[in-house]
Amino acid sequence: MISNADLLTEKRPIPVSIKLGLLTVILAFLVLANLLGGTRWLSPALLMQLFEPPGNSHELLVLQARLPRLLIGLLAGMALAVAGTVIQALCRNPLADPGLLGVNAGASASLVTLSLLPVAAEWGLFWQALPGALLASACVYMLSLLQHASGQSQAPVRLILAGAAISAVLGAYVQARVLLNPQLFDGFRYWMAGSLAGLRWTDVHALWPYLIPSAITLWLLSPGLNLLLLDRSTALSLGASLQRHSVLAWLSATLLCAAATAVVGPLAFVGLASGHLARAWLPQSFRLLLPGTALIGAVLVLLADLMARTLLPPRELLTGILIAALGAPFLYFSARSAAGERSAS
Amino acid sequence: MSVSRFPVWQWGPLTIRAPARGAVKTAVFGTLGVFLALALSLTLGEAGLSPDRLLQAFRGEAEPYEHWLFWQSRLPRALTALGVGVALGVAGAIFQSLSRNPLGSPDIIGINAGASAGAVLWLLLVPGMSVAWGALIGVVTVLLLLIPGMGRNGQLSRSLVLMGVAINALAIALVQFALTLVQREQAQQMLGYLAGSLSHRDWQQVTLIATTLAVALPWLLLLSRRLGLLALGRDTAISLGVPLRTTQLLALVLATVLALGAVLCAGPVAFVALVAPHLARWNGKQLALLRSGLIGALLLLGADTLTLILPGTQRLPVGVLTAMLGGAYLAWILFAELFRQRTPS
Repeated sequence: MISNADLLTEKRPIPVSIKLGLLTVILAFLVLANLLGGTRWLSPALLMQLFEPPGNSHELLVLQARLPRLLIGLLAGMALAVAGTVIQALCRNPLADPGLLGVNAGASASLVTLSLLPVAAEWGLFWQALPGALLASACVYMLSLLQHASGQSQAPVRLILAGAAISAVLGAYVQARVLLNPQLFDGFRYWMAGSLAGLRWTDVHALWPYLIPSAITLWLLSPGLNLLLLDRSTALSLGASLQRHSVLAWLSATLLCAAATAVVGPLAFVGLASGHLARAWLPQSFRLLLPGTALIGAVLVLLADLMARTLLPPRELLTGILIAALGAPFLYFSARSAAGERSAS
Repeated sequence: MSVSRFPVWQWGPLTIRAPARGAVKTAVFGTLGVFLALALSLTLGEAGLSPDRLLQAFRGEAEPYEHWLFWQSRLPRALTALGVGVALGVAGAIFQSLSRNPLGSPDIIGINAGASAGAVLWLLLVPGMSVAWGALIGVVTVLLLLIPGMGRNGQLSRSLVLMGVAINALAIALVQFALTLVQREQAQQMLGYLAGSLSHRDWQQVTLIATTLAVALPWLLLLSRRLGLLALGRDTAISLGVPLRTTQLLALVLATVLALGAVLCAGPVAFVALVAPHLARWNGKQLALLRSGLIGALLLLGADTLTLILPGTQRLPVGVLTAMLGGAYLAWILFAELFRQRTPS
């Protein structure tokens, strides 16, 4: 969008295609770095043999083991980012993030509940975490609907606080279960911290059937979502069927973030930060915002994962802690600069 | 609102104002309630003392074991619960009033999580020494991070809470990360501390919490009139001559001292600080520091007594129980508030 100031100084904005192209190049670079980097760096020549049978080469085995981890980081980053952007538009709340709104805590709670039931013991982390994530997301959706109906001025902060409160309650429940069942704790404390380690091809296969349909649905819905960016009465007068659009969009966004969370564990802040960055850099149209946020989210997750594996060479840090370390200062400083602006004006 | 602040006696510069009728009522009922709760807490439970034994132990005529039980185990525990409850209730009331947000309690804006993260990292880095130092460092760090949230003119509601949410999320990620670094037994032990527990308290904790209260409460009572004016709105408070920044800063520091004292004595007990001020405000909107403190004390002692008498919860720390009770209450007020605001429009 060109403002008056830009016209006066004749400063032309960088074209969108160049921005998206630049992001793609960064992402491609990170993909290569993630394959080759780690506790041990591999030579790029090995990439040629990536899809050949391993034979006796130990290094090729390592490279091929890194492939599913890379794919999941890519998919999860994209899913979380897109879900964050869409939910931010639906709540009309620039601070909404599925992780902060309680989806992560819901996933953990259902994990500790279901993994002790004899029926669900064989399901694996993914299926045990998914129902809780979906349920928590539905709760938050109802809350935000009620909030719009009541037309509160303080809605953005309220929703975030409600999410934090829901997370705290579910967190206490998880704590109780874990304290009473020590053996449960050992199984999933790595998942709880948010980790991409030890993921296999089966996890990739569990993830994509949820992501592809949701992403396509959101893409098809994007003209309707654009109307949501306008204010509500304008959108209604332009003939948007808000209810149907929002329910479908929320469902797809929830599936995206619930599936991603179930596989990689609670990664907060990806949706928040990438939605924010995308809205600052790209035009306000979902046809561009969706791919843009997906790219940014994937870049964030892959960057965090690369750092997790290379910062302290003999050890491997967890991806979740690095994402929180990158994302929390982001929210902190944007809130802080908002405080400075308001007090200055 | 019926304010009956007469009669007033004056001797020269000294003015004594009879307390309002509400305050007298609160004091009487509060004292009765505290004694009743104390008696129940001491007599109930597996190792409880029957009333006549209680009296014997009190006069020092009981057998050595019961004497020890009363003086070294049950009484310190109950007194710690009372003191920590008062501290949490008052701290919660101040935080909520400062952030002008009914959910802005130390649980949500990162004080508790900061203490947890500090304690856990301390256990990792300096295993030999008491965790309390780590908790202290954590809380002070969080406080220092929160202070910039107050703009120059004392606009702090929104940004303070958001910065708190960011700090909270980062601290939780740190805790989860630390839990993956240690052996299972140590992680279990950390988890037990993190929930907030009242078992195995002795007179050291009672002295600590009593000192904290004795230091912070008089200051806060002096400040409470200003805080009440501040709750009426920023402009009103300024025009009535309240020095905004000093008041807020002082209140923030004192409330943090109270929260810190509570954390050092009982660990990060959840939700008491959030629920007590709500219950204290049930018949009005005014700030009720003392009432909130009393209710906090009753809540915590009651929850602790419940863990003693409920079957199967002996091994659960009291923090888990308060989180569950508080969470249910919280869900109820969130929905009730939203529905109430919806109906008039």
